[in-house]
Amino acid sequence: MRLAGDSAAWRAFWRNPSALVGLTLVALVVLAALFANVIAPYPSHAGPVGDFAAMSAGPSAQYLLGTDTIGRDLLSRLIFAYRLSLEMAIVVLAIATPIGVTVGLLGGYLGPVSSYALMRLTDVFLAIPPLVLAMSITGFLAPSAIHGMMAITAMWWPWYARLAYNLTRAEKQEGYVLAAETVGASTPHILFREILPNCMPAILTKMTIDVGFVILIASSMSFLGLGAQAPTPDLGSMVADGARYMPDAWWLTAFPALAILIVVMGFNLLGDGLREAADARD
Amino acid sequence: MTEPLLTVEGVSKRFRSAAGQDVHALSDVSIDVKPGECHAIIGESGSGKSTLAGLILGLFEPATGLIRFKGAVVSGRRRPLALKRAIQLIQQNPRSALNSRRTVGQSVRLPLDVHGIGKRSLRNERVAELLREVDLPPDYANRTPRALSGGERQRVAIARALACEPQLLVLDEPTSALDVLVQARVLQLLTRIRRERGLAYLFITHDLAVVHGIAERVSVLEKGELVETGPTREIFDSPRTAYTRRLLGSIPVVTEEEARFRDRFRTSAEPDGEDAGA
Amino acid sequence: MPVTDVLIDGRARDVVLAVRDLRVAFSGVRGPVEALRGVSLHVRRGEKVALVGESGSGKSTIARLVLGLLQDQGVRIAGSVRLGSREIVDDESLVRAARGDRVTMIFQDAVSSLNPTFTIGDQFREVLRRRDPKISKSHADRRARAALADVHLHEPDRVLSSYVFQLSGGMSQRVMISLALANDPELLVADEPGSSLDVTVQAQTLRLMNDLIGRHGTSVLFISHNLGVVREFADRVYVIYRGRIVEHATVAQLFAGARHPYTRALLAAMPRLDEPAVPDAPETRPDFNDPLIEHPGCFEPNFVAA
Repeated sequence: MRLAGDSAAWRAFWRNPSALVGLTLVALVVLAALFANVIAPYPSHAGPVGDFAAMSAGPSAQYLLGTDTIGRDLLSRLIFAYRLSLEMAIVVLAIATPIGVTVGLLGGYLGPVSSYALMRLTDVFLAIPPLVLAMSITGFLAPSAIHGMMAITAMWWPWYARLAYNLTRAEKQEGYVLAAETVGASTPHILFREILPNCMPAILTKMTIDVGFVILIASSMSFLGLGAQAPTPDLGSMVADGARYMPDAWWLTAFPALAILIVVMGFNLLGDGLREAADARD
Repeated sequence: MTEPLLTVEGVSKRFRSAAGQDVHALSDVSIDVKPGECHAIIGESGSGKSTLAGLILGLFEPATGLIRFKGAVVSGRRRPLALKRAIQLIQQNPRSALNSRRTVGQSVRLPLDVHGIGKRSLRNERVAELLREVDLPPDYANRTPRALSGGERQRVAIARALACEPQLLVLDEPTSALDVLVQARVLQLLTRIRRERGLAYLFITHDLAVVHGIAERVSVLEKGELVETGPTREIFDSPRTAYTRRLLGSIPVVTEEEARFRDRFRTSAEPDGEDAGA
Repeated sequence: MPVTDVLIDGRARDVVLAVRDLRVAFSGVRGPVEALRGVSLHVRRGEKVALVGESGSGKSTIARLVLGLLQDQGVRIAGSVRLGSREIVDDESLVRAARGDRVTMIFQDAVSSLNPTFTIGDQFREVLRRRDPKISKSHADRRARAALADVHLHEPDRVLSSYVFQLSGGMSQRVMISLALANDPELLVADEPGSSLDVTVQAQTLRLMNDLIGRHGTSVLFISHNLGVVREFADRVYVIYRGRIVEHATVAQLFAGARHPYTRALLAAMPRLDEPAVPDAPETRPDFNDPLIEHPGCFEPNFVAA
């Protein structure tokens, strides 16, 4: 059922130029990832294939963004790299968000002892520098895309815990929480059916912006060799591989870096647009 | 002499303020509510009225004293679901009291689901009946609170409380946030419901004029102490404490008769010094 | 009361505020929302005029417009608002010059309307500087102390060095009143003053305000939802319903014999102090939209251009 508030939110969103830019960029990235097999001119180049005749060739009609050191089409590899990045981001957020939000809800609602314990646990995870945590985890287990995701998930959930904690503390003051308590509703009901829906706009906005940042961190890790390994196409490792050929084969680094910029900025702008739309509703 | 439904016996409560000071919210307060009676608690800010409501609802425990419901001691221990059902709350602010992310129907249905009242398949019908009881059209069940006015929201809150089939309603300034015409309508509704269901009300307010028509007994709280209590007529005919007289004398009225009635309580030598600083 | 309904030369010697056919619309989600639909009212020198209505009637919109707090917020305004002899409806800068000096405002809740980061003394100095930019600190403090004594705050030095959150509700309300009257303004707009206070404190505060206004001879536009308060403090009353004035009468006329259905409903809805009765009045009725009723002697002045 459409309400006055919802249409205000829609209107605020569609009138916001940067939100629309964000939406466009995100749509491009998502479409590329979904239909990689169809869109990429040389889908096989995403795998263990080489064409030494075309090594390190600059952008041309045949290879729109050039080729890498073993002759693989950069454009195709970037498209598949987008797919991998989005998959990673989705998996990380799908795990980190529920864990973090649950910890935050409990921490914000329960009594002082439980609250303290939960939030200090959160602080411990927040205190560890993200890349150090990533390096330890992937150092312990061999570097791979999956271990990279585990590392990022471990460093990501506390931010959702913090967010959910603050939101829950605010919502706890509201009359409807007191009403649910006096009516006799159970604590899980109050947390997940009463308080959580009021936190969703902020959580969803953060998740949207986070897709970009997870990809950025994942790229940083694979830049350092801690993420996906060859021959899997990955944005960060492509930047790393191309770095030593600068400035001659500039396309080897420039285009992957640009690809990272596009996806991070796209999700950032989209997330901001969502946040402003949510504010307009209230 | 009927057994009281609720007794508050010698109850005290202290809080630590943000500045680290001990605040005596309530000192040795005793009141009771008989079945089907409306007992009004008059208090301004700092009187302890909200603390009293919180204690009766079981939100926290008294430092000293007891609270009994139907003779059994209920303070100092966890309340079983059946007891929570029997004592319900109507809050001052209808905007905050309803979850804007849940429809009216979902909010009113909550007690039915929590307490397993009636067959699940019939609960939506029960919600419709409850909405009709508070003079709201049943199709409001699909609306969210944002689409409702203040008076309508308060009536939804009342319907939700009634869904529990309570025996005692604690009403904490239920009409203070409403416009005058809306307030009249809600008071009419509350009066009718009490009569039809035989409910008891603990009606907390600062507005003596409101209680004159609806309460059988009145108790006055000042700074955490019970300073006066008695049948409504007595409180209005011959208030005993200076505080009650000052309360009566401060109320803005609109008719000559009321002005004459009120001005008896206005002394020319009004203590006019500044209030104690915060 | 002197009746001057035709003024020569357009100079309103007697009329401090004159609003004529004021229309205000805000841009809402589904199109413009009309807050005021042709409101006319006036305040003469030394008069206390009340504007009574429920929430959503538009009464606060008028207050803000008179203080020039509305003009640049994307609202559509039509009609005339004269402060003294100046038309201010489309030029907010004219009001800004007068604000704090010749026209001041007090609000419902002092604690949220006074600046929490400045001491009371600082705020007095700022207010007094609007009238006299070169006023010295010691002179300003002297006048501030006198102003505080006027509102019966007996420890002026303590109050002047306090921040607003260190004062009780009643005290900060009095500070707000004395700040508003410090420059002896021509017009005071009071938006539900004291309604956030306890009823005993409110009564005391309003009495004090009344006393002070009487001594200064300030004109007051008093906005309220509480007819009882209006009866005690106002000379003339306008009742506003959904953006239109529906009844205009002196206080005596209104409370002895209100004629408009809406006003009568408001009066019937108020719980009586002297009798046990549950107030009975409809929440809304079609005849609430009946046209304006002006009681004898109550009409809007006309301006004749020079």
